[in-house]
Amino acid sequence: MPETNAYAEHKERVFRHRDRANQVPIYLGKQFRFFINESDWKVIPMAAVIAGLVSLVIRNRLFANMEGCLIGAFALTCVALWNGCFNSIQAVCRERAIIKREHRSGMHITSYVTAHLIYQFVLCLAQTAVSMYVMKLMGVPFPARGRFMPSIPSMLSLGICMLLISYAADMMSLFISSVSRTTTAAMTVMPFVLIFQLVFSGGVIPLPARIQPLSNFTISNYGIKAIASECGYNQLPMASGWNALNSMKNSEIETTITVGQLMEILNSDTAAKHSEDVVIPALTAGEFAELLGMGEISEEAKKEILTQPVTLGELTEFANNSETVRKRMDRSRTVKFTVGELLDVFGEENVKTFLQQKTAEAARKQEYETQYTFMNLLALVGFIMLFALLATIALELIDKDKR
Amino acid sequence: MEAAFWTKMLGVLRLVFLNSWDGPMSILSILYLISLWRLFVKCGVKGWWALVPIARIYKIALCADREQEGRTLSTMAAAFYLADIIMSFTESGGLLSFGCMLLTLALIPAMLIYSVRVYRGLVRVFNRKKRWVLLWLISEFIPLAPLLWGFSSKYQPQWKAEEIRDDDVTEFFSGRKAAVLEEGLTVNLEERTAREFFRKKTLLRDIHMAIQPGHMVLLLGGSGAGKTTFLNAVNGYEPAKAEVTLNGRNMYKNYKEMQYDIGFVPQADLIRGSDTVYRTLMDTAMLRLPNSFSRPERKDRVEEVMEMFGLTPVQHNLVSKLSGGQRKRLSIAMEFIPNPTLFILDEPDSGLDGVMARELFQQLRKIADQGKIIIVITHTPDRVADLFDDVIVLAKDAKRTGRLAWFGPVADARTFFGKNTMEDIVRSVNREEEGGDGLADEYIIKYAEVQHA
Repeated sequence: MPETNAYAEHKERVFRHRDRANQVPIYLGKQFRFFINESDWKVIPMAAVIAGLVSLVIRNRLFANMEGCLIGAFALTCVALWNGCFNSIQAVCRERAIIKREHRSGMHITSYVTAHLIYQFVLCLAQTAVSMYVMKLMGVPFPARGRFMPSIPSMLSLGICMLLISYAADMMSLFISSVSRTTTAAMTVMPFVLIFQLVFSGGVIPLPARIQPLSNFTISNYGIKAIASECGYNQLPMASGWNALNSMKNSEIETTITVGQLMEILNSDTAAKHSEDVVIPALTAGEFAELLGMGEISEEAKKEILTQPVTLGELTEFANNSETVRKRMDRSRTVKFTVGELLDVFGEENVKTFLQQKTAEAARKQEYETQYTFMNLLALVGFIMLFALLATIALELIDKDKR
Repeated sequence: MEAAFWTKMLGVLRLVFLNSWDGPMSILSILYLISLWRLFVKCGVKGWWALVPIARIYKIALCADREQEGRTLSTMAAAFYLADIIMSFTESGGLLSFGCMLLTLALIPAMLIYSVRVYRGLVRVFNRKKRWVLLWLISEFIPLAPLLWGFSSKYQPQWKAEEIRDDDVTEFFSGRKAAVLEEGLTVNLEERTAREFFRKKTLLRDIHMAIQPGHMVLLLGGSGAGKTTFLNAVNGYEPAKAEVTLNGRNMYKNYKEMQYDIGFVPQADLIRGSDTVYRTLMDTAMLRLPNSFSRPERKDRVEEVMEMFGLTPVQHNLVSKLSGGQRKRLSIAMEFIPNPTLFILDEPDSGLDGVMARELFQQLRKIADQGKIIIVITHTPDRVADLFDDVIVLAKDAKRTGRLAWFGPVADARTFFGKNTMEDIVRSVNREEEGGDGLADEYIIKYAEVQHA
């Protein structure tokens, strides 16, 4: 078809328009004006309030022991997920009709999504900064140096984890918003997504082996791992074993044991392993004999005083060399004592330290090692890219729902 | 092992085709399908659809005049069957089986609700009491309701479900295509179809016209006649089987380039409330004006358009604070920024009072006088009819396809239809159940004859 003069006059106007890169600032400007003129700014104080409330619960636990670290990591992941999700869940669907109008007028979807990516990143960054500052104010004892990146403060290192979780959740919500036709639909889907993210994170709530693989599809799984490893989960003691024992201090234990059996225990390999690290406080031989039910021990023997605290090894050696003990190997005695008394014998601090260390060794998880932090952060970046791509594809199809 | 597989397979087929797992229930299901066949025939749907699983659900909804619900319900039924099949072939207790079980549990209440909606529609079509809905809900197990409604002559639908067929419509075709204009808009639309679920729907057919530059054209038609579909086909947004040229250039082939030369003002004011008037127009200018425009030139153009549409006094106001009329003018101004050759407006006067609407159309007339083509849909045409050069009348034919009943000067339209007002013209082509005279087919044929002549 030959071009007419009238068309030729407009040729330049028709052909050269802003390309994708040059459209981004237009939409970025719109996003920031929306932040100022509408209600988007409210997410910043909201993040501060949430961080403050969570800090009240986790401030004394996060870096204290394994359990506190895990709960803290879960709570911080929840905070970041919540912030991220609610930043963008309505961002696209609330202006879906406007996007369609602009798309038919020459707007590129990639430019629009890129503007959102930048804007949402800034929003997440601001929220994370505010959250970390509030946590600091609330007394969360951040270590001086981070574990993943020792060259920067722990607070900053933890902030990077929080930012990536928040941004990944933000992108996930952006995708949901892109496929939802109305804000109501998006807000209906949101609780399901959040519940899935939290329940199937596999951190605090142990999952049956059968459904464990589902946790690999959650942002929260990698978020918890990243935060826990950054907080040094594997280097912390475990408190629950000692706490359980400590809470049973008044519980009575009753057992019948011969002197020979006791000597067998003392001479066992297990006892031998701890011959140096278990320290028994100062005790007279009389007290020891009393404890073993050797009531008729001579007064002379009773005077054998162990003036210094002894290790388990020294005690065993003493008992092995004691003529009194050797003579009464067949004697049995029903012993009744409380857990507290037993702890007194072995020394409360010793048992506590021992138990915390040994249970922590057993509870260590490879995925919480600092060397895996980078992989977890990389997984979060993967989520960000995946959801950004899906959001773009979903919006490219926006013309399919023309009416 | 193999026998167990085929037993399962048989069960699945029975479930899908007969809606039943066991033998005795299958007999009732067969009765249900036979009576459904009869019911479909009564409602104007081909009976054999009763034998097609999932599709029959949609067809029941069609009979009930509940197409939307039917789509959702049949989609849910498909998902339900699929989940059921997966469950029967996978190990119970497995993750997949568990997921399918969750899905079916979630689908059951949703399907029940949608079934109630569909059966309420069916009860309305057959003019029966609502308590019949209960019988219909259990009809797949106890097919009392379909047996009675299918076989008894006492139960007749008030109206039939219309199935769109593509035959028997070419008789209205004028056979005359519009000559392509070197300057102006030429539309030669053969048909615009849409595939909806289990059927193909022809939305528009045989619309041919040539509009001269400087003409302001009124687009009339009843509800559902295809006015917006026609405009979307004209501007290339929803391409049809058509050749549309603007100033001699094919719009479909060059849509990406030519979209900047078409202004389309939608019915709703789709503008962000968080921007000021000036910022909105400036962003539009950046988006739609060519790169060769310098910043001062863009600014000048924005100020010129603001002045033209009376927006200068409110240029620093947020869009969310504007009145309905101001917002409408802004919506039009946005499309006018690139100074388009073709300007299409979908009900620009909705929400405006008579005086404001008149002023707006006068403004559009001035734009048309600059050599632009303006096509406008309005539901209150008579107050501004004198401002238009031509009128397009679209009407739904017997097959509910949008057809051209008139294109030409406004005065000639009055003569052609024998009516004094535009609203009377619309009323004459509207269907009787819509409060019209139901003369659409008559005028479509008459106009085809006029074109032949």
